[in-house]
Amino acid sequence: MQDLLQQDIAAIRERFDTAFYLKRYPDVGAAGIDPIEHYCRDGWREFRDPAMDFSTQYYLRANPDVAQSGVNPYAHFILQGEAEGRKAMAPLVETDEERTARLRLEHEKSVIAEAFNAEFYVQRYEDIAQLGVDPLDHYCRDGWREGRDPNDRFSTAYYLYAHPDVEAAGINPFWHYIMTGESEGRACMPENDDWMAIPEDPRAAAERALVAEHFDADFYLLHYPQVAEAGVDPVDHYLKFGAAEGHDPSPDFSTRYYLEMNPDLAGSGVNPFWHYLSSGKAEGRDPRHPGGYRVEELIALEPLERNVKRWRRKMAPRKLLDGEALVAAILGDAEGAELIFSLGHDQYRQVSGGVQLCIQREETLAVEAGGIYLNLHPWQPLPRLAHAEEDPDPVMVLVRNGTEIGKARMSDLIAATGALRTRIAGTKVVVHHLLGHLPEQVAELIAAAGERACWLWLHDFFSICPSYTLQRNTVSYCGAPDVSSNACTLCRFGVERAAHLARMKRFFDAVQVHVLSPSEVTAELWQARSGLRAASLEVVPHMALRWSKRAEPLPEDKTPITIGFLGTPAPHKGWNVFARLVRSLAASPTYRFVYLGQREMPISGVEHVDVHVTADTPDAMIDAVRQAGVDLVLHWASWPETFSLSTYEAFAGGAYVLTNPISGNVAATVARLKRGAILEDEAALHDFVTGAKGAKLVEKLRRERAEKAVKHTLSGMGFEVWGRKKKGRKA
Amino acid sequence: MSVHAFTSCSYSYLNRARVLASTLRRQHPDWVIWLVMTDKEPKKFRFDLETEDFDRIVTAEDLFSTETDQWLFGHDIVEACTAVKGRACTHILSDPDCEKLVYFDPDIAVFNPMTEVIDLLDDYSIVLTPHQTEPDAKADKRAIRDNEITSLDYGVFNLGFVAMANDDEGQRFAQWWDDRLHDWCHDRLDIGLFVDQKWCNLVPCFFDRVKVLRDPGYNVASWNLSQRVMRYDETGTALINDRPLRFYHFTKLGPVGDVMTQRFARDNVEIYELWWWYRNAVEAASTSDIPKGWWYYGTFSNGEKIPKPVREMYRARGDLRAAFPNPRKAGKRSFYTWLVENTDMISNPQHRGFEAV
Repeated sequence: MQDLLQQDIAAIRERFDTAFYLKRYPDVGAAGIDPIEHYCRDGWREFRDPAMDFSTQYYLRANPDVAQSGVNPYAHFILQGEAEGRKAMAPLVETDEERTARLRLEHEKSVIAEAFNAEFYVQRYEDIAQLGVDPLDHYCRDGWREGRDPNDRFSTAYYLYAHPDVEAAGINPFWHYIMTGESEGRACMPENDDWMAIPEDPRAAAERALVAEHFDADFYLLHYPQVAEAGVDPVDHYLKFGAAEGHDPSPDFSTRYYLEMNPDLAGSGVNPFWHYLSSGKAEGRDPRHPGGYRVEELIALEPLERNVKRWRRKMAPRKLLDGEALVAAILGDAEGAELIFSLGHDQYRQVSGGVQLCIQREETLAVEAGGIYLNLHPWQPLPRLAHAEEDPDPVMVLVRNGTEIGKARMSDLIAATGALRTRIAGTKVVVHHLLGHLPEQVAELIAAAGERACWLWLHDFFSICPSYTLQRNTVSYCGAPDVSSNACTLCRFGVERAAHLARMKRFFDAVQVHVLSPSEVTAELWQARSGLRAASLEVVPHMALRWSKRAEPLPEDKTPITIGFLGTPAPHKGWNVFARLVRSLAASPTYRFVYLGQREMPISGVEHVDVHVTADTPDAMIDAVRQAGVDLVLHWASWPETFSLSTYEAFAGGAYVLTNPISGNVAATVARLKRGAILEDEAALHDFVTGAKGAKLVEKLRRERAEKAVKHTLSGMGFEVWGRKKKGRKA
Repeated sequence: MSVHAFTSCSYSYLNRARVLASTLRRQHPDWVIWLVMTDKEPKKFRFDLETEDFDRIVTAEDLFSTETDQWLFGHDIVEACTAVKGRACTHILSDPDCEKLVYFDPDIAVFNPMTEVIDLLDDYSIVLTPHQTEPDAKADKRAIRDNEITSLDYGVFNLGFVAMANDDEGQRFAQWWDDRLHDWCHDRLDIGLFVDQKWCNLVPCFFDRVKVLRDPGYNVASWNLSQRVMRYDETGTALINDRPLRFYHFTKLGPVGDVMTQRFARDNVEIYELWWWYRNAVEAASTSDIPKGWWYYGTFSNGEKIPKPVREMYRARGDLRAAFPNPRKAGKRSFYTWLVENTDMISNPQHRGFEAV
């Protein structure tokens, strides 16, 4: 979005009349907003003019294709419209033709005004509401030509279809109906949808056939639910209205992108998807951004500090605990118990995710042991460490044994910790995440507790880089090179990382940090790349798996090969890879595809099993994998996962795992257990699944599954190491 | 003796020039970096060398003295900022401290040391980078049109970069370039001219010790992306076709540049990341005290924009230059008044009826 804005700004910069704008719209100057930015962000939508010689309102009215595309009209005019001979303003002297058209429009509006349902119109057509244009005016100028309906009792498209004389006359059909059609007894609503399915001429039929062949109806109906609600055939909807409204006919084709990159099509009336299929593809035109989802994400990416600014809460925190009240709130009735400080980055009981489940698990174990489990997470969430210059004393939200007990400044917590020393059995500090924290104050907290050490979990690589999954610019795995390298200096996190590393180093120097890694591969990467000196480094996996012989073998499994995807269906989790695999193999009876998770899943050819993993139902995913009979789980990660609970859940549910080489502990676990395959790229994945190797792997899996059951046990988190003498290796 | 470098721009491009200077400074803290400014500060803005990555600033007035106003009147902003490059070269080469001189366009950023080029200047006097260093595929007509044919039109070398030794041949080149640019630095493709760039097609013909640098890491831009792939190695060094990326030419920041980048970078995500970085770096180097589109020499003294045809007519007609030696000045008996009274070029600035050679 920001990028689009910048493009608009760049396009109009030369010709934008700042002085004119500020004079015409004094509110902009008073608000201290950059006039060009104001115009690009809001001004044009409010029909403000960027210069004396350009009328935003006229341009949008006169060019409905521009209005519908949602592009900045002035940028459109400069980059394209002017060369196409489009006018910037209404001509000062009205021609006879224009006068006739204007009077005609006024007449039509007055005739249909009473029967026209403006409320229905803006509700049905969201883009009209967004444009803020007069619905009646829109219907008379453009709406009926776009097949939109004036109320729920009149079908524009059907009326034109059923009465070719009206269509041939090129007149407003609703006006015709009110003037004469109704008294002539003409039908204005179809009895069923049959009429839509039969194209009238062979050219249109051929166009429809080609589009239909490549059209993803399930995708369309899931993305544009109003089409399903209206009960209209999705292909017909796309051809008649959807393309003009910027809808996409399949996940592989972006209507807006195609029109944007091929301005020669704008206003030509040619359906962009049909154009692509019939000629554009052969001419080398792109159906989407050639850079793929990563570049699409990059376009929307804002600089880190702008992100921080946007996250900044507007209100000050209220009702902060301090002094005796704070001590009492922490202590409760647990005088003499052990106190565990757990530092996290969010409300782990409300946010779902692997780190959050780990904290919940640790909390459960601590409470069972009779301790006080006090989670501190920043009241002001941040995408990086806190900066003392912005707030030297951040406010923490306190969650005691699972219940939120209030908020307190870190300095007050440090003071309370000192006061608590004589009233508790001892203190431990466990760092799950430092996002939004001041590590300098965390060190003070540890000292106030009379301790010199803390435990730090490597749930991700935040101790190495604020881009905690080690993604350069959030889109490309970087492997954490030196902070002075090109990769770092050209990265969104580069500037922050330099200071971040220095602060981490000071933290590790000030405190004896016992590092807990959920996997060997993570421990190795961390040791190689962090440059930090840990007091100890120990591998504590979150889950252990054990295969044991079944008393009674399962019967032979002859069902299709079932390939599953677990969790969030996001591109960076490999969803696109899964979706492409589905599209290329869904027609084959050899395969079956399932998605296990709680999100809407916009793709056809996949069965959806709704799964919610919570602290109360920790085995929900494992059970779902087993019940769905998943053979292979695809886990195509974009970073080296430190543990990957879903990989373990896949194994525990009786499946094997397919993954890519950079997936960290996913690939390491697949290799160690020899249960699955690590594939170099998507082509290798496709070859593997469709070839003999894939079939052999499934055969092996099913043989093993018939004979052996998998048992899993959750780890004791920190309690695994606290209960015994340290055996962690020196780092 | 030191290596000197310079860029040339108006204040509207200071943001880009600052990005160039800071990236160059990072690679070469010991270089002397000059800013050649063909502009005057807008009212609210003061250029303070102390806070900049530039070591020195030299203005068009410093270089062209009393003829500046009249001479610049014959040029639009692109012509003007390129026309001064030849004189800037002779000026800087006259500094006894200058051993080698490098020019960069302001929309370039430097990512790895330029040491190889500086070493080349021990054996060569002039180093140029071509727009393309490898032919496009025969079947790729669009690339041939966009790249090779465009090179034939606009000049085979990209003059966003040139390096020269401060020796006889280097000086001879600088003097020749200055001579030509003084009289012929015009955007006139119809007569075979494109500002300062097309002239340099002749450099290998006129001068010895010319190095055509074909290393893909230099002057990477949309016009050669069809043949270049960017990636990072495990140490985080940016590579182009496996050679370190020396400098990238961020030509046409905005929608036009984006289209060309997409056309040739395809799915090379690293290129889009680089542009993301550049867009934000330029934004961070911008100041709202310089009005958008500011160019002191762009208007008559009454603030009205000087239309391009007026510039073309003025530079073509000696009688006008003689009659109005101070053409920017508006008021009684001024060139401006003459234009208003005798032509429709002011009232109808789009009119382009004048095409003198």
